Amino acid sequence: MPKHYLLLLAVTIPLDGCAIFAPAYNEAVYTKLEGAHSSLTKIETALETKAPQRTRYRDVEPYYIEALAMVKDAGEIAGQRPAYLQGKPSARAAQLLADNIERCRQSIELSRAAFEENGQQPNEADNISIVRNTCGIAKTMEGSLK
Amino acid sequence: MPVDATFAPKSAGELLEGLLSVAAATAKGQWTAIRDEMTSQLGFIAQKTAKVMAQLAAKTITVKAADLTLHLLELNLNSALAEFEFLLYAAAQKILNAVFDLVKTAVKNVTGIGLLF
Repeated sequence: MPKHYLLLLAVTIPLDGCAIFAPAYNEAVYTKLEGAHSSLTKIETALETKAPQRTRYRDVEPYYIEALAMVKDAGEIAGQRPAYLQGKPSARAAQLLADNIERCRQSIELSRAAFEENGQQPNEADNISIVRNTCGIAKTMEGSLK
Repeated sequence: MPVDATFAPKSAGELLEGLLSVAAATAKGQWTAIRDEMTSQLGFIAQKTAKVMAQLAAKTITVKAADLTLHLLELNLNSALAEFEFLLYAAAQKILNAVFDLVKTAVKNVTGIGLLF
């Protein structure tokens, strides 16, 4: 096969092959989401350890704050990606991930506010498990970019 | 012609076949992973939704408590749907990378030039 044919093919393909369809993996986003996930696990574990007694809101508040802070950090970094990928399909992918980090943050805050207002409900463990799953989705998405 | 590190196509046709086989293999692997992930996510939502409905019917939780859980499930479902779309983009990128890598391998084996892109 003529060598120039291959070389021609190689240079015709856009040089920036990375990040055309999906943003590049960001370690900080992943680590922060992982941290938030483990703070939510602490809430779940606190509920399980206390059961059948109820857990007081003030016992789990620090974990909620930890989780919210880490999701906020991750959201700030991930929120910048769509702008600098503008014009590429990967901008859409980056936006989907940024949106899911925001859904994760909303879920934690909804759960936290309800816990503070009403105390532990019979389905509290399910709520935390759903919040953990929602935040886990954002983590899985960043992880799939590795 | 093995499609591996020794891949050195002798014609454009051979190169195309190699690229297609790599693209197909990557796509298949990605699709299996996406299907498993979505099966697990939708299964989770179904299970939790059924539970909250049963609790509400048995009046072991208040309407207000059920309302919060359903709202959290709504956010969860929207997340899962966004994840599905996202994973398709991530899969497209992986297929592209696999094809690029094979082009690089072919160029290197045929011409001796290692491309940096």
